Amino acid sequence: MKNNTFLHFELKAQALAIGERIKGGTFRPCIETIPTSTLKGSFRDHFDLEDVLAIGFLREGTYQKDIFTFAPFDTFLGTAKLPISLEYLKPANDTKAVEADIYVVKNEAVKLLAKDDPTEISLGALKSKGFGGCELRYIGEIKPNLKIGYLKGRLLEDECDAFGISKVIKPCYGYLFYPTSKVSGVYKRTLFERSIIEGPDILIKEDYKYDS
Amino acid sequence: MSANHPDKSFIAELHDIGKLVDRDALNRSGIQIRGHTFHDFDFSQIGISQPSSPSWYAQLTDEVRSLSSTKVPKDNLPDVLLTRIADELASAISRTWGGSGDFQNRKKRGEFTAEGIYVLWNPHYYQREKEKSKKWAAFSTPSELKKMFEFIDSCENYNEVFERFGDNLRLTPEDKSVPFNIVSLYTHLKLTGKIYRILKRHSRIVEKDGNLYLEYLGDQIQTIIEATGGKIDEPTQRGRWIYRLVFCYINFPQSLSRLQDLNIFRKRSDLIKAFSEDENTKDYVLFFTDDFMCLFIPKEDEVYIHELLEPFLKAGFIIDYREMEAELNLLTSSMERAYEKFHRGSSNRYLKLYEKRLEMDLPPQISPPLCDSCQRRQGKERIKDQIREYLCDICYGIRQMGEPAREYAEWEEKGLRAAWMKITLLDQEQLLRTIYRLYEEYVDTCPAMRNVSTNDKKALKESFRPLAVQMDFVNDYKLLLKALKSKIYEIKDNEEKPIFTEETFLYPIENYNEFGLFKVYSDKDILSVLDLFCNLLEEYFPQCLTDSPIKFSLSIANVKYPYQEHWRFLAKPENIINIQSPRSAKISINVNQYRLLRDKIRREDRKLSHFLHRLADIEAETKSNMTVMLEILNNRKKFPVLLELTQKGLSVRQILDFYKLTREAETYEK
Repeated sequence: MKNNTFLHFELKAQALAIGERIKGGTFRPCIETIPTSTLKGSFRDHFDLEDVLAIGFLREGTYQKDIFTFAPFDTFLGTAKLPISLEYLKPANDTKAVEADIYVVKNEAVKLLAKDDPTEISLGALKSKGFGGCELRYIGEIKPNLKIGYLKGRLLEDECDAFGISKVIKPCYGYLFYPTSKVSGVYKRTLFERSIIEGPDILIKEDYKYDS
Repeated sequence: MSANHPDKSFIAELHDIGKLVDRDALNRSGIQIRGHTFHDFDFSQIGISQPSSPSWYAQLTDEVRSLSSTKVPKDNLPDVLLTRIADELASAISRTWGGSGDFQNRKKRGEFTAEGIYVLWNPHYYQREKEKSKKWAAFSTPSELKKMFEFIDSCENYNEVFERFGDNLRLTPEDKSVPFNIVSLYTHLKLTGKIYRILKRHSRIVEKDGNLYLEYLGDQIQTIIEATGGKIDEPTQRGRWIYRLVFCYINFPQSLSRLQDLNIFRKRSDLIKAFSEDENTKDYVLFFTDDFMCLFIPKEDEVYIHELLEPFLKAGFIIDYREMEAELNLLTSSMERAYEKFHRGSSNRYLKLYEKRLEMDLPPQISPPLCDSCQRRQGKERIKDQIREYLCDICYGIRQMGEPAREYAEWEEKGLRAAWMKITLLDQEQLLRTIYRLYEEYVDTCPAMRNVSTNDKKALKESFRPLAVQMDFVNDYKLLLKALKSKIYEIKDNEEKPIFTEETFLYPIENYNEFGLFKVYSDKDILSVLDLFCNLLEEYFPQCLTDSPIKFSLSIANVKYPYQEHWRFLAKPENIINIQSPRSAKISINVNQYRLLRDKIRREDRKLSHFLHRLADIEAETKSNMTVMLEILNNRKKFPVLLELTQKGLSVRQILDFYKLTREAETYEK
């Protein structure tokens, strides 16, 4: 394992829309985890840090889904497009904020994030409409144990090593966008939820009890 | 009887044909018969000679434990031995379970013998069939018995057994003793036949120094125990033949954003059907549903699973599978239970359990655009009706398969609501939990088991192998789906006119009976469909009204409501009945709760609606059930029904949502 120390943060938000890619319709579903690609972009925008390796997991019971409908404006034609319904997360009935745990792989570059004062960052889609504003608060450093189980988030396959994943027993693949410049990028093969891995317990939702 | 038939094939299914003989009736006619096999039968009693086809020797299945047996001609010995192995694997209670000597003796004396099949989820099934003059026995007279022997001699193909005696086989249990009488002979023979043919296909006969052996993957065996191994709690009795039992869940990555995307269901059904009917693969499939297959296959060295399932992978499906690889006698469909039990003790025997996934090779990276639908391959620009989309060839091919539910797209009456209906046999693990629950209840509560010791009951429960019972359950589930489809158009309104026609209730995907779409003109439409489902569930699965792996879901919304959202709700049912009207109400209840609500709430007036809304507000504000209950108690004279419903476990939210779902469907002029 290359690195098994993480900086642990708590994230709080009022409205979070981390969407699946548009799937040819007028409805954009929202995912219930924070992929590495989303956090990479956010940390780059707010802290000017390139290539931060971080992953996030929403805390169960702190959020519920709702739908926001809006009509995007086509600036070229000067007309409104077909309305889109966007799914987003808002605090559950008896909670004040959507909460998540964020784990950043510790290295020299990210040490500056380990400070007591909370920081404002933004995540996900529709920031211009008030979505994605978050408070990020540092909790501490952790050194997770190694475990075999079901992955609870999404991370690029070539990030496995850096996250301390020593073995992928059952990959459940999807793709995440990876920018290669300010105007272009590629889709990289990614481990999605329910992949079976041997790795840090913070990445594991549930133990895998059988043979590998 | 006719002369030798060296060219005839051996039909393993005939080994149990004697179980269709009514021995009592024949004994009364003066024919002496012992047991259900006829290898020592006195043929002079009926004036014929012993059959001589290879299949005749299946009668000696119980007598042969080794290839050194002299009871069967050498040419037929391997077939008989393989039938014996398959027969043991297909039995519902492990034949090696032992049990106390007392229990075995009482069983032999017939103390636990019952007449017909006992269906765990439908205990009165046999009685009802009997009342329809159906009977388990196919051979009750001397002339019928003669015909049985003629059939053994002349039968060319195992399908003839099921075609000719299917009705009798379905009513006859494989073992007539309680609690073994839970698997129909029909299913037992289907299973035995398939396992026998797979074992035969992957083994070869070897003769060395005048002795016969059967060889599989280089391992030669002579006796059954060498091939299968001992019981799970015999740590040294290792079996040498390793096979795999595989539960395959056939999933797809596509999102359902256009109606043509529904073609994916037809594609999957067609592939499963083709695979389970193909001469080369059908015997590997022990049973299947529209999204699942249970396979019995040799080790990877003999059959590569990705090659076997290639048609599914080429079509873009993802196969998530659970694979038990073990000695034959350790293989069981209750994989997790067996795995845990096996690992509780120390053993040098072989049992592995894996969770794996198969899909088409995916590249490490893809240049944009990504396919909008599956998001696993590069998309190409496709423009239809001025809408531009990026789709890979596979997803585009699915769109091109046709226009399912074209009528749905044309449902344009203003304000019309439509219901998306999905029936689901939830994953096999939940089915197994239900089967275990029902079986254990049967062992504990059946009157015939009253004087059986606790230890014997425990051993019977632990030796249970649910595979064949699972197959029977799945068959009944398919019958329920068919019945629902045919009866939906028979529902009549007050004027005796059908509520639904083929234009207003669509089954949009050919040969796929789990999914339907219908127009909702009034709350009666919703309730009549729910009533029909509940009645059929009660007819086919009366023991599953409060806990069932079969789920029924309805999502009711405007016709233009996003299909993905309907599907997301339909794909994850929480209880037996699940209904949602997005952004208005959502309810998940069992059949008994539905009937209670149906019976009580429908009779109430609008005042109840106001009161229910008030209670829901109180519940949301105070988050206190006590406050809500206090309010209900204070109003018990005005609304006595609410007190009764809450006392039976229904929450105010459930009552209110049911009211909204069934009352707020606007009555719409047809």
